[in-house]
Amino acid sequence: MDSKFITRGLERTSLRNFSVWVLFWVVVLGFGLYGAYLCLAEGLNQTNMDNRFVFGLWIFLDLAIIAFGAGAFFTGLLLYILKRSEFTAVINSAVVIGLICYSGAVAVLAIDVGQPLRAWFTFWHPNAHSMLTEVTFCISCYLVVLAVEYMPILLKNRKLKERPSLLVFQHNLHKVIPVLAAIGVFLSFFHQGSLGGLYGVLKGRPFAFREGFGIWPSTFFLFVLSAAAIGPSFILLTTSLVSKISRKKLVKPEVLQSLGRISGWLLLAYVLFKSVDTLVWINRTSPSLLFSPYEYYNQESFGTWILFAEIVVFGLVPALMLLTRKIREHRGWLITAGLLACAGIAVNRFVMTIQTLALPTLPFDPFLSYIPSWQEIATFIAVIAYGVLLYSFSFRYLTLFPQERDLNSLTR
Amino acid sequence: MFPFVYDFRWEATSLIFLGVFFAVITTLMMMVATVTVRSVKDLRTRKIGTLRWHETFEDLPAGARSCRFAMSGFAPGRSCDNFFECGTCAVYPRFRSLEERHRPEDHESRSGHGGFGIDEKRYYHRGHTWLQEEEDGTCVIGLDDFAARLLGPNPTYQLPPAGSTLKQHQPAFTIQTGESSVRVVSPIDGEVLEAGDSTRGWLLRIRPSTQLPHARHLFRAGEARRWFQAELERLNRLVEIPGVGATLADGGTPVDSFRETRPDANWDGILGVMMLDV
Repeated sequence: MDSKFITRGLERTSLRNFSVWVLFWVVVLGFGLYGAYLCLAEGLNQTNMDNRFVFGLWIFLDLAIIAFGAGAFFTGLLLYILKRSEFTAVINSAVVIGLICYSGAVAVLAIDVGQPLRAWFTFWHPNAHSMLTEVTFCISCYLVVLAVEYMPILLKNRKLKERPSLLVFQHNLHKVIPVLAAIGVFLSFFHQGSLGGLYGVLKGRPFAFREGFGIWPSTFFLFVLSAAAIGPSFILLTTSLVSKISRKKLVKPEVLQSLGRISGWLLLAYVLFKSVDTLVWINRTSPSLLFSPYEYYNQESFGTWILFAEIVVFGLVPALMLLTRKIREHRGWLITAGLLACAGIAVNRFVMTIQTLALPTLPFDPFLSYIPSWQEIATFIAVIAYGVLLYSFSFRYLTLFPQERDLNSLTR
Repeated sequence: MFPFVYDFRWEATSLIFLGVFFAVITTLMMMVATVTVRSVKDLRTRKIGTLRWHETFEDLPAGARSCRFAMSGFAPGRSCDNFFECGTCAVYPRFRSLEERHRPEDHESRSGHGGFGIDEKRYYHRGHTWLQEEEDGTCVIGLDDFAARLLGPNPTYQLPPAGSTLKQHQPAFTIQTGESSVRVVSPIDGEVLEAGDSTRGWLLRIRPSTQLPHARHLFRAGEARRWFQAELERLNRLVEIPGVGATLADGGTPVDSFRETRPDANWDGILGVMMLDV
């Protein structure tokens, strides 16, 4: 029934199956939007955050998905600027994932801030000394860049490209994509960094505070490097997941292995810098602020195991796995390594947000605990449902993987 | 944000930050504006046909873009990156002279190879059409044997009226078969003189703008033979019919209608991919 909208030469599931899939996620999205509506209409009392615990599940989600969305800028860098043409196979998917991640993050931020109608204040009265201002500007601009990058993919839809005006617009837009990719790299570098810088400058929170270079704390560079490292791994994971669900070969195995190898080298560099940074923090930064670093790990929930997990289990181990050719060539192990790497960055963002706020900083401060309310979780789930829906429609009606036609037969 | 806004500060940090921000915004806006202006210009200058072909070409699967010299073994694995415009291809003269020196028999006529009818007097185009020069200098265009077997029995044609202009690689006419509709690209520039039908053996009579021997992008019989074989292998991969591949290997002949061998396949997709209408 909708076959006239599906790219010729691609085989997709029946409209009935697709409708059932979409319906399920629409229901989930509806539930999530109800939770988000309650938070906006009733206020922050719907959440379990308070004046002490101001960053919760949402900010963790923001930081994590913005790191995962780095695949879009990094794949663009590899393809358009470093001319690694093999990544043409995944660039469209990377752009869609980037768009989902960034638009999801901006939507959640709007709910988190609680006054979306006044969001323009941050642009109209910017505080140029605040890293948060840089994050706001860069993320907003990059979201526009991603939306423009998504347009040629959208306009290549089988029906849309029949219209001469859209075809010509798409063709000309595609020619300037390398410039957009370069702008994306510039913006991503700064906002990924500033997200890390936000925590690194918290002198009142010795657990997060870091020394650095010039005005930038070391977390600025660690966030950039970790996002660049994890972007290819996340593309690898999502491609494998979509391939599994759709039962189609989407890209040649060498492309995924190449993504894995690049991710591995960057992750290894990140782990090395992170280790050095941690040692400097333990031996110099924290003692200079009169805190013994081991105090941070005396709390029941957050022992040294979390530091070990972040750097070794979810950092060094996947980096070495991704750098081992035999492991990369084994699909299962490659995916496991990618999964561990992504989990590592999620743990890092969790540590920087939740653990930082939970730890006491003054002698009379208690250890704070926080469990998100169902409304917060619902909003979190809404972002996932939105992402699944946008990706599902894009996968069905657009060409996200140009190699797919070469790799699959057209039998039902 | 602006000097007239309350709390604006004339300090270096603000100016650098806002300067970078406005530079990014201006670049983005300029780009979208340039793209819009270019698009309007392209629409006015009627470049749409060429653009559509370039877009179609870029969307073709890699297997459909093999260089003709890759098929002849002189440039293994080489893909065309020049929109099948052999006339402007930089490597064409070199490979052509190599081919003429080492395989002169490829330019000799052969017919009926691999079970497909190949006529020595005809020139073949990758969109599965053929061209034949008539004594009066006009040309007739028809669908090749491979396309006939792809389309199955009783396709219907929507042919352009006499006086229409045809452009090389741009849609010339449409074929409807079953629920599928496929646009067939023109093998050459020219003007339509007469529309025929399948009973007359050809579909269009045209006055070509180029003399056929100068149309480098067309295949002669020897090349067409190899190309048909490559196309059959490509089709085989798409529909996974072991029997089709075997017929070539054991000297058999292809069936009259490929569809009948695998009715459950996505024939709309296959037609598009094989006939350059993706």
